[in-house]
Amino acid sequence: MPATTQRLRVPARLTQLARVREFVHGCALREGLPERETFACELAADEAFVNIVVHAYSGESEGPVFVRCRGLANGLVISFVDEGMTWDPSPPSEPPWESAQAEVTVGGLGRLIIHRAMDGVRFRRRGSRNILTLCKFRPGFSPAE
Amino acid sequence: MDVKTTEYKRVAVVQPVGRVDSNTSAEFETELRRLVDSGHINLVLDLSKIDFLSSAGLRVIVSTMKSTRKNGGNICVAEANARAAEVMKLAGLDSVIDMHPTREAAIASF
Repeated sequence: MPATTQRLRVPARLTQLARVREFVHGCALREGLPERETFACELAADEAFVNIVVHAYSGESEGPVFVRCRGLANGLVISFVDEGMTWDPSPPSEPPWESAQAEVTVGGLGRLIIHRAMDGVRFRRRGSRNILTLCKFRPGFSPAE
Repeated sequence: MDVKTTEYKRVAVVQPVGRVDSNTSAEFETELRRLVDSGHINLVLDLSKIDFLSSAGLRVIVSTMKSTRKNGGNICVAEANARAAEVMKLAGLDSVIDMHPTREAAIASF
């Protein structure tokens, strides 16, 4: 079965958050992912987009965010490409509730959720662009196959 | 998103309805801060009517947890639906905040 690809381009504004979630949710559903995996993709997409707005573009801007969903036999690959500053998608070293600070910083919990919700997370800087690639396997798929 | 609050003598029950994300979490936070500032140190979060819960909502929950515990109280969750429970579990918050199957059990825990 050939891979199917869906694309979306939005500005880096939080008003686009629901649109990004719905786009990814729809792609996951069309690829036949079950509810739990579809929700995981939607959640990770939300967190990724917010991180891009906050860290890559240092706040809302007209900077582009390109979202691409590619359905494969083993699952769904979601990529986010932006033209902002490089940012670190690594999860925090300690859970935020263990921090002595009263307030929890933006992004830390989100990055943690991305890594736990998705089966694969990869970040690359290519020229002036950030490329964040997330993958979610279909249930029962083993990466060793 | 709406936030419904029921205040009892020893505890306040807060029920966010709808999506709690980066666009809507401020309303949730405002209500929780109001309760804490007015003296409520024990809070129950009824997550039965959450459509979506992102880290923005979790940040509010964690901040409120720290505030209530600092004041000698606590926060717990009641009736988390599948999505809310999944997000709490992904973040590891289910091991930090007590999760109860019913409002009654949550209220009785204080």
